[in-house]
Amino acid sequence: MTEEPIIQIKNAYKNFGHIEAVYDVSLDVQIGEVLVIIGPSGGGKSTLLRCINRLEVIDKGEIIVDGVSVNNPKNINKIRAEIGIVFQLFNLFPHLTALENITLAQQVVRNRKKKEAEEIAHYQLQKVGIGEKWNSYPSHLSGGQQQRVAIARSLAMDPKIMLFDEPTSALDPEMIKGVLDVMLALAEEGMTMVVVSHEMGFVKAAADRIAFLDFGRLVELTTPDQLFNNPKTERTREFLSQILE
Amino acid sequence: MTNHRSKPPADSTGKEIPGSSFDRPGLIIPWKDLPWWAVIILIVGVYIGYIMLTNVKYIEALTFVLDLPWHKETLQVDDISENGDWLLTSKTSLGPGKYTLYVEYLDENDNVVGQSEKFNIQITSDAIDYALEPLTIPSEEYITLDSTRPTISGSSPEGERAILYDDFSRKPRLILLNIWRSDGLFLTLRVTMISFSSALILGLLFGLMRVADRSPDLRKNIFIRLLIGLVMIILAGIFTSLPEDIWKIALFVISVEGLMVLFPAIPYTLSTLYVEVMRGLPMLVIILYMGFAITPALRNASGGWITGEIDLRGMPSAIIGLSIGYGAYLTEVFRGGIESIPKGQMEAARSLGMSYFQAMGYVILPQAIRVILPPLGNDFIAMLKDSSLISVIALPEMLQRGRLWISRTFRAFEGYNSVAILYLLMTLGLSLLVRFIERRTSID
Ligand SMILES: Nc1ncnc2c1ncn2[C@@H]1O[C@H](COP(=O)(O)OP(=O)(O)OP(=O)(O)O)[C@@H](O)[C@H]1O
Ligand SMILES: [Mg+2]
Repeated sequence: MTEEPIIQIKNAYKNFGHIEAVYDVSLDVQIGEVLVIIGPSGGGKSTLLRCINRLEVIDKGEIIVDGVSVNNPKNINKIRAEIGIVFQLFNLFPHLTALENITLAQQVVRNRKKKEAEEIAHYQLQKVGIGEKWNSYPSHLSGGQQQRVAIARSLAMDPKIMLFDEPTSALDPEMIKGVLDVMLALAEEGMTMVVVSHEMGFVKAAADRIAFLDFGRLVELTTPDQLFNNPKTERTREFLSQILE
Repeated sequence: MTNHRSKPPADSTGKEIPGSSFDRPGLIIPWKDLPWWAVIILIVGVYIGYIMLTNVKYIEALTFVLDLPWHKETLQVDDISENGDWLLTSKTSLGPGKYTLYVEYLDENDNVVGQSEKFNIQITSDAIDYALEPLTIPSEEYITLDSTRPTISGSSPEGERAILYDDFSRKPRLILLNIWRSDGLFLTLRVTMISFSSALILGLLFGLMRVADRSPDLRKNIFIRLLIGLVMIILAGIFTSLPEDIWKIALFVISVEGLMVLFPAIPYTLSTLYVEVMRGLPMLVIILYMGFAITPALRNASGGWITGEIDLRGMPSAIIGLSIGYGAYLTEVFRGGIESIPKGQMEAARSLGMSYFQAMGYVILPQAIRVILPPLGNDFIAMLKDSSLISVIALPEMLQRGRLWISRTFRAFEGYNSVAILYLLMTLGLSLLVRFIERRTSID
């Protein structure tokens, strides 16, 4: 690809006290690419993802998103509005309805009129398949429905990048498919996505590349085929055999 | 099935009606929220109320403590002459408008023995301050006067003294105004509400400062801060005379720039200091301080401008004292409420591009409010009780009125009972309300 990568991570380090959560990680993500991050618990997947929109601040190195450095940004809020993030525990606003969850940031950050924001919200809810639930509070929605509202909330901001941090790991098995379908459709549309997930179905169907993180280090970064059929290190092989059981 | 009675009622289809049997429509009394002790208190209260309201002394004490300003204002008091004639001129000038004046006759023990008919008068807008020929004939129609100090005369078959009243019972605006001015119960409520509102603002501001970063990055924007410090030093040099001594100037520069370097850490430090100091002082000490130390000191320091132009004595200093004292407690309530909201909420809001304060205002605080409503209610009740402390700076609130009545009648028992009953009525009612809110907010 000749185009400039939309995410550039250059020798990023992040420590929590003595824990090396991210250690000398460098990787690029191209426009429209789906990058999946896998790795054992505590490997630093969430931390790396959160560094991209500066929920965590790296200690060393540089992260450039869409041509702007997030190390010392003039306007972090503007950059964040371009990066959607979906959390493991949804983090919907419990005091607002599904619709209000989606319109709030549009009105406050994107300065859209209420009516316009609501139209977009209805459209996004329809797209994630729960259009009829617009007036429900999060506590009245199932986990899968909540996660889809959370995805719609991010999409309504017209992000250039979507980050997913284990979006299905807090869901009951029968809910997982609905959320994965939404993510697959999004990947199909050409959204740039960085996804932390161990859902092999999704990985095989959508991933362009896979990164394997262990002890904060980027152990491998290849295509799914390469990784599954011909893992480079013993550590990767071990981990894969565990999750593919 | 062993216990049939505990089963909720079933409808005709055999399916169970959802919800408990308390959810019957049409029942307005919130039985669920009414604890059993409230019922006992209600019964005892009715009993005590009966005893009190059939006892003249209690009624007298209660009226004095309540100081209800319903319908009359004294304009002048004078003796009635031997032959029963009286002549009264309003002491104060009346503004333009319509008035209903009448006179009450008192015997030697100050008991009311009769009253005159009503005089309706209208004072013109260009009326001047002089007393007019006495009005002798009461009238239903409004008599237009160009004097602001009407004189009224008549004769009374009995009575020793006469009081000229302005009856404003049909003027809601005046009643409100008099409620605003009256002592006793309304002074207590007024002071509590004003102080609580300002304590809420203080609590919110300092609460937000309390949850600010406690070890912020001092390097961020440091040059801008140092520059601001430099500008302040130069401005200080221009507008005030800096000390001659080079060491003193150096000390001044170092302190200002030092504070600017530490500036990001100041909100947390300052609010913590405020909370710790204020919570460590008894409310009584704070109020005495405000009334007898700070206010006079401010007057001296401002060359008499404060408590000359701006009068801080009395109510203002009481309100300031209560507000800053309770502001510290409310700060902790707000901090607790904000910190009780999961971290993910702030992260989700910030990830969507909201600023810190937008996230606070739209996401965190609306949720925190539900958490802190009950403790806020409890602090309101506590403040209502603590407002009795302002009697030490001689404000005629409920307790002070009660003591005044006791010092006149030497009936301590009735006096303090009346004060206690009035406080209890308010605090018990409010705590029921708080319970109700607590249940409501804990449901969802
Ligand atoms: N805020 C924090 N404070 C201290 N340590 C942290 C913090 N966040 C993460 N860590 C530590 O950093 C390391 C990496 O954490 P991270 O959450 O990125 O792992 P992960 O790969 O996402 O794991 P999981 O699969 O369990 O979510 C872990 O050892 C974790 O304990
Ligand atoms: Mg994680």
